[in-house]
Amino acid sequence: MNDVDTSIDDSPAESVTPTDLNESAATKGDRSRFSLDRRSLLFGVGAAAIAATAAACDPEPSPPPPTAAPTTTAAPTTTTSIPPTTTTTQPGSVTGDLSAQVLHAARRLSFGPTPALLTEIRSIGITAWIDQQLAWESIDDSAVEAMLTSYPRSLMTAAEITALGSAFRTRGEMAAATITRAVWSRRQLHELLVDFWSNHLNIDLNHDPSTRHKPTDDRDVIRRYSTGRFADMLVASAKSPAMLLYLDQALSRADGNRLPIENYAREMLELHTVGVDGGYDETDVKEVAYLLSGWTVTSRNDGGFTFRSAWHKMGPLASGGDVLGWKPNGLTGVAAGESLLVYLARHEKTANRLAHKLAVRFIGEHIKPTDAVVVAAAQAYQSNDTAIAPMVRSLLLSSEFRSSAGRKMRRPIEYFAGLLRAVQLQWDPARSTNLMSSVTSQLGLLGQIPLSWETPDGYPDSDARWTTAGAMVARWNLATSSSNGFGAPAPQFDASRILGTPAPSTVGEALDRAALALLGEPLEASARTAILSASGQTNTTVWKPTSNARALFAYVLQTPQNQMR
Amino acid sequence: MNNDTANNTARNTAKNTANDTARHEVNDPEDNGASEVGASLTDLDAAVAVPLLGPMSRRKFLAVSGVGATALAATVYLRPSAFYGQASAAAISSTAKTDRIIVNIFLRGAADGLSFLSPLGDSTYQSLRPGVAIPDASALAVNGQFGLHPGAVRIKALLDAGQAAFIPAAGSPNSNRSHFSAQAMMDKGSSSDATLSTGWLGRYLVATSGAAEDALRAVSIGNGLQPSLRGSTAIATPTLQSLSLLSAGTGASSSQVQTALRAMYPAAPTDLLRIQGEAATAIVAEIAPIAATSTPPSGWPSGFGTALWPIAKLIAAGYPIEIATADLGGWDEHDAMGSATDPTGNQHKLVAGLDAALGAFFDYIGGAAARTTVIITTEFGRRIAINGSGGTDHGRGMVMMVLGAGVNPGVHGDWPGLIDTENGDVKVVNDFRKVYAEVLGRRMRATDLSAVFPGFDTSPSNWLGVTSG
Repeated sequence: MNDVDTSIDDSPAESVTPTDLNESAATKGDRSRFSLDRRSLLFGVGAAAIAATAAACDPEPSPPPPTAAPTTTAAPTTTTSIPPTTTTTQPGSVTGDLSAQVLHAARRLSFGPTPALLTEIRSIGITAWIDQQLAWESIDDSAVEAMLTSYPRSLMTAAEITALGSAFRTRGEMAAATITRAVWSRRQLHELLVDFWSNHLNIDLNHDPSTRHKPTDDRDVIRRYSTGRFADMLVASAKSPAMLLYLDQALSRADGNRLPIENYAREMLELHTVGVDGGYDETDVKEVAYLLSGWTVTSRNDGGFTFRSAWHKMGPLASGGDVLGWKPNGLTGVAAGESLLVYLARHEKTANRLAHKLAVRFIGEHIKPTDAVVVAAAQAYQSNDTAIAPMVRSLLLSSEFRSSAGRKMRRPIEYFAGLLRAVQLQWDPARSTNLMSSVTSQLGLLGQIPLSWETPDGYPDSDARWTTAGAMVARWNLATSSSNGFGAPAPQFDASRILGTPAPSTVGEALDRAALALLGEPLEASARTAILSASGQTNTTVWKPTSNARALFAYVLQTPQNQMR
Repeated sequence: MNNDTANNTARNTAKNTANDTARHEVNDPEDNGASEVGASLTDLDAAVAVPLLGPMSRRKFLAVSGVGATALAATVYLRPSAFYGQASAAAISSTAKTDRIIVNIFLRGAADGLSFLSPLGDSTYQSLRPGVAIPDASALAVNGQFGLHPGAVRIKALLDAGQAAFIPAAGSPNSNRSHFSAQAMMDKGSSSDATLSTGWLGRYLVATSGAAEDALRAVSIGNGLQPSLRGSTAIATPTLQSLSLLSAGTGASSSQVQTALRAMYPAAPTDLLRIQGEAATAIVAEIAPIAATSTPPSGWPSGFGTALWPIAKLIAAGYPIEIATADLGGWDEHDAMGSATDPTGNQHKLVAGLDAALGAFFDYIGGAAARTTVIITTEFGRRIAINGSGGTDHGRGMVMMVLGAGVNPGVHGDWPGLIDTENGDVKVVNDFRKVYAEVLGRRMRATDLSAVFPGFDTSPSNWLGVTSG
């Protein structure tokens, strides 16, 4: 933590006490030079609000505002004169433009920037916002929790799902609940960390009979410990019926001459803790498989964890031997297994692996396991007894994070949720089933339905993996489908939220407002030219009430800019 | 849900298994994806030409044969130099290409070799696998020594037609039993996890690329590129329909959208996005004649068949495919493999599902089967002995299969038996690269494969005789 660079003071001029945080976005908005109510500020003229607030909050006193406010002039804004914000930050620079840094934080630490989010981050400062997000339990999220009742199985125990029936619906409901949280939760960083840990301790929602146990795993393993101690998360995962069933541990028995199943033991070492280069060998895998034999469930469909001593055999570890330095030291049964899991969670190889994996997720694939930013994060984890929040904080406050704008692309889930956030779709319980089918069909096409990666390694975190020609076509089509909020009627989808009021006077102005609202920054000049040219319009074409806003939105959402995270 | 995607083909039969690719990026510190783009350029710069012998011009063949005239009329060519910088300067002339096709199928999850090809009259095999071993009487005889799984009837038919070769005890000299490490090595065509960032088919494609490259020269069915194709411009898509560009409802026409995208993506902020965006706009035009109407005929097998359908369609329609890949998952049978003679058993369903998909594939491509060779591989085999739950854990030697055109039928390579084992696993005595090198060397007529399999002896003297011409 000591070498975290905090030299950018991204705090706003006025100090904000922690108790103000939940209201600060609104109050700051009210204090802005626009005398608009909060809703208008955040939704009505989103584009204008971003530009104006950027000017108001720029910490450099003299330079001109980084963006021109489209509403200040009748003449069309010429984006060619505005340097793209992502390129104004020099790699490694600690004097990056605040506007660019806020947009970078919003892109990387949420499921997509919205005018409201940018205002929120700007009003309390990036560091304070990160700390607030890491303390996610204190952020009121009752609105999204109310939405989740539309997907009842996502909140149920296995026994409740069994009693309700149609357990297969758990798959769609869990996927839709995950996207619902991604789009509308105020705990954006928490949701990203939940996504990270859901993949780190991956359980395929389609794996029967893990399906009906996954909501419990999601709540009691992943969400509960997303910023807590990894040792606790690992032990909880090892006892989670969904995991026990997914990796066959629930069936592993060593009684008689039976050989225990090695699947969980191997993947726990290879994927959950020390990693494939962690120094263990085939003997260790067998020893761990014996050690954990008898860890099972009381009932396949709706049971909880139990230890069946009759199935258990200590195996080779009973007569000496160790696993990466761990020995039973007289412990037996569940206590021995728990002791090993905690030992592995604390192992330096685990610390480094988790820190590196998080760095790849939040900073980029250019970060190496030996980089200082990873070493510092691993130290934060180890010196806080496997606590996750200090490790994440260390990464997110690093200069490497700040200089990583433009170095990461959206994966399909981030792209999909980002589209819905960009078009400011409002939740409608009457359309919860529509949303669920969009999630499964559209993300099915892109190959990333939440919680549905088949193998225990979780969805890959590689730009190249997700950026293929076929995927690009699917992304462009998804941009088209979402450009009217998947057909949601007003007021759930309202183009004027994006275009602002009063209506723009020219196509050029409409395009610029759409870009600011949908992307959080002006369009790259070449994309802007391409859109105007392909649609046969010019900057000065008069914008009419009947003009086609949806086509403009689709083009903007199809741009290379909107693929970046 | 999601049964519309080829990527998810194995759902019906899958346990906790593999069906997709590219899974090693994060976990391996030596192989994160970011270095992929940059490092691959370095690798490709170092790549030398792979001279080809065949006099037959691929384009000429297609023109003469008259196959797929419609498709060819719409063909869009990509310029490899735009993708690889100067790397393609080392490539040979594209006019030397063959009309031949390789389909590389990867069975993700470690398919049990002894459930494809069982040793006949082997009491060790029978005694270590009670209830799971293929009974000799039920095995479909390959020769006096081996039999095929009773569910593999179409593979047996291919064998009887002289179009199936089997390589038991195959695998890598690297004994890593991690699915993900072993798959990564095999996709790279290497026995080391760390030294290469590109795939063996990717390097082959780059080394043989011409001045203008057909956008469909290589196609990977699934949501991600099969890692064997990394470094190339192969198109990855789960279905052909998903390559259709929509504009419905926006008021813009499809051609307007295409025009805009073609103008936007050359200026994309990263090479990766620029390359794939440009390839996507090219492929949309090329695939348009068949994409929207491409649905399999009735009776086409679901499951594994879903992934093979787009390949069959492209080949049969005369597109100039040279390399196609598909991943088929579901093979990680740690428990309850079931009886080989019970069609409802888990392992039986896997084998029969693959078999039916292959049968439908060869039926559909018809005459093009005479130029199509299918390679089937998996990351490693499984333990000889079943575990306490009727499944098998991770082992070593697996069975590779080479099917279709130019195959020398029968069983190839050495067989160490089940007594002389590696920790209770079938020993690996036949390096998988011998098979890959032979198929590229004899079928695709490449004479120097040192850049494709660095450090490995790819000369004909090291081949196994899997192919005949």
